[in-house]
Amino acid sequence: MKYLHYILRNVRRNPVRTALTVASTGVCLFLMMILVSFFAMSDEVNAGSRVHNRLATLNANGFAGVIPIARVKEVAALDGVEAVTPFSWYGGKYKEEVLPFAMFCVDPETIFRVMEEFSIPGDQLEAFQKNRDGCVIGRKLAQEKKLQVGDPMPLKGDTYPVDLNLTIRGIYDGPSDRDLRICFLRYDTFDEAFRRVATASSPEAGQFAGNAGMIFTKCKNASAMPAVARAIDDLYRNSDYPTRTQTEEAFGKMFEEMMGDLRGMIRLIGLAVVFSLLCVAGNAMAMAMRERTTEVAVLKAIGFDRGRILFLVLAESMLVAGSGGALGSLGCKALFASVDISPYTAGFLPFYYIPWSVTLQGLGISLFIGFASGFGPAIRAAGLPVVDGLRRVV
Amino acid sequence: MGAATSIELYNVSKEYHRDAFTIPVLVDLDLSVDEGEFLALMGPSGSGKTTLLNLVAGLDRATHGEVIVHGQDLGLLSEAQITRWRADNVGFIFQTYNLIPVLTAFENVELPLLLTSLSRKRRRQNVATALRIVGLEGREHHYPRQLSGGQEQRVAIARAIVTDPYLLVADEPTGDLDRTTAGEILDLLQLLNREFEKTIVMVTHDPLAALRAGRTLHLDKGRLVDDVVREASVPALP
Repeated sequence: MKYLHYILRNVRRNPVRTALTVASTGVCLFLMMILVSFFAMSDEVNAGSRVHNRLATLNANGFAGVIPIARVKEVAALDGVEAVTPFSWYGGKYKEEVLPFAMFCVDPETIFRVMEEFSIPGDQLEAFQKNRDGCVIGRKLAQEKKLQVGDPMPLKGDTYPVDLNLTIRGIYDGPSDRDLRICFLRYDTFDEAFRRVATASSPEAGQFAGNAGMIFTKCKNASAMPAVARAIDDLYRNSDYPTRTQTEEAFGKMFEEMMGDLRGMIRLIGLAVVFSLLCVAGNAMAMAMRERTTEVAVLKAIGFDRGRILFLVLAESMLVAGSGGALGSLGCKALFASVDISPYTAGFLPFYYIPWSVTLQGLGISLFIGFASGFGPAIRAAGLPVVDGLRRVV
Repeated sequence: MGAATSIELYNVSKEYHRDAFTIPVLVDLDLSVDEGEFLALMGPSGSGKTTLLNLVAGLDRATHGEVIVHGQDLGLLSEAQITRWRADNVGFIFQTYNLIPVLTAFENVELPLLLTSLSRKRRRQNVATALRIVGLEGREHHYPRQLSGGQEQRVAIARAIVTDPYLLVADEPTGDLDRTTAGEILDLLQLLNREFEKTIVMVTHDPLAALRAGRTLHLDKGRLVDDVVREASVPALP
């Protein structure tokens, strides 16, 4: 603490250089936090889904394959199963909007038992279940588009040539790390409309009718999940549409992997960022110490030993980089905590936050950058022969 | 009975190596300085006076011979020990003051005290005393850029004496000052020598400054060529 004011004065000695170093560190870490958080957040959310004991069943060939809707009832009849819902991507747009939000065709009787973390008032759920033209939307979507129960929800089909004129029957809510921008519509309403349109326009298109897309199964408990998953896949192993059943967590990871080795790319980008920052901070620190050669020699002459000089330089370097790190990491966390970016991601990122683990990682990286970038100049300063440093004086 | 010996040099040589060349800077030097003596080192550039000052102050090591200051053979001390020894025993006054520009006068003077275990209150008292001795009360919170050259040198002297060192070394302390201000600084050094009994070794090119010292050594080509002891040093310039 005795040296704190001296360290702080040195940090402020060249305000422009310090500000630029802090800013470059802050901005780079800010961007890195965004990238790294994508997977950290996904991991947290995926891990958090374990408590719901859900299984996701897809066609063994992936999303493009068909899961006949009849299987929903067959799966529901298996031992250990509590509730089952089809989960079919509708892929439409609201009115003339360009940025879509997620729309899934589900079973109104079971969807909120399967997705138990979502809550909906009883009367609204009942209205959804009783009205075939009904749909339920998430709270964020309702707030963003200023929609209320009873408002029309005209949807224009993009994936399927089916336009639907629905009415909002309910608004669901849920935890902040869940997607609150989904529109749940009734599978039976969609399928009926699709069969009508497909049969009229092209008989081949009719083969896609009755496709559940995927099935979400809520098991009675965690211990039942392996047996249920095995039973589902065994049931359809020799059918035209074999299945692949996995936990919701594994499904989430598989979904990420479909984007390629993004983790590896982000790791490489992170390394490049750290290296660049090391160069920037190292150069700034080296310049600062070169300008202070005589001062360091004076300090050593009056009795500052190697350890103290090393400490002073490293503390200064870590303070500058750490300030940038705090600005970037905490600023990034604060920004995403206060701004909802989901409306701008077309449903791809229904929520985004910076986990504390990533924030602390960012701070740690900035301190490492400070240490590593200051280490060379600190060693040089600590080892500076006093006579050389003083040059023509003493 | 004479004063105790403060600085003793026995057969001291100092050589520098530049590429394949060996450059002798001090050659077989023997010297004895008494406690409380005010010694001026004079000589042409390259004569070895600053090197001699560096050896006496523990900033550099002799190639051959022994340098004993206040009973301590400096050649026997490790790097860490000699750094500690300097902190305890030597005050430095530089030609260009060498104050830390981002610290106030008070903080500059306090710097050597940060190496001690003194409390904050005690440090403040010592700094205030040192600044009073050099006549800079009321300028504690001024930064070096807000002070004149003479005032900066006073702050540097306050920094040199704040730990109450045994030995003060000064390299051209008046070299950057006008005649009047130089006189004031030399007055101050004389005061420290007479009133506070500090042993002072000063390098100077200025014969008038050397007259303030009780003894003047002349060096040339690394050898001691003259040793003048005055009965009484010149008290002050008119």
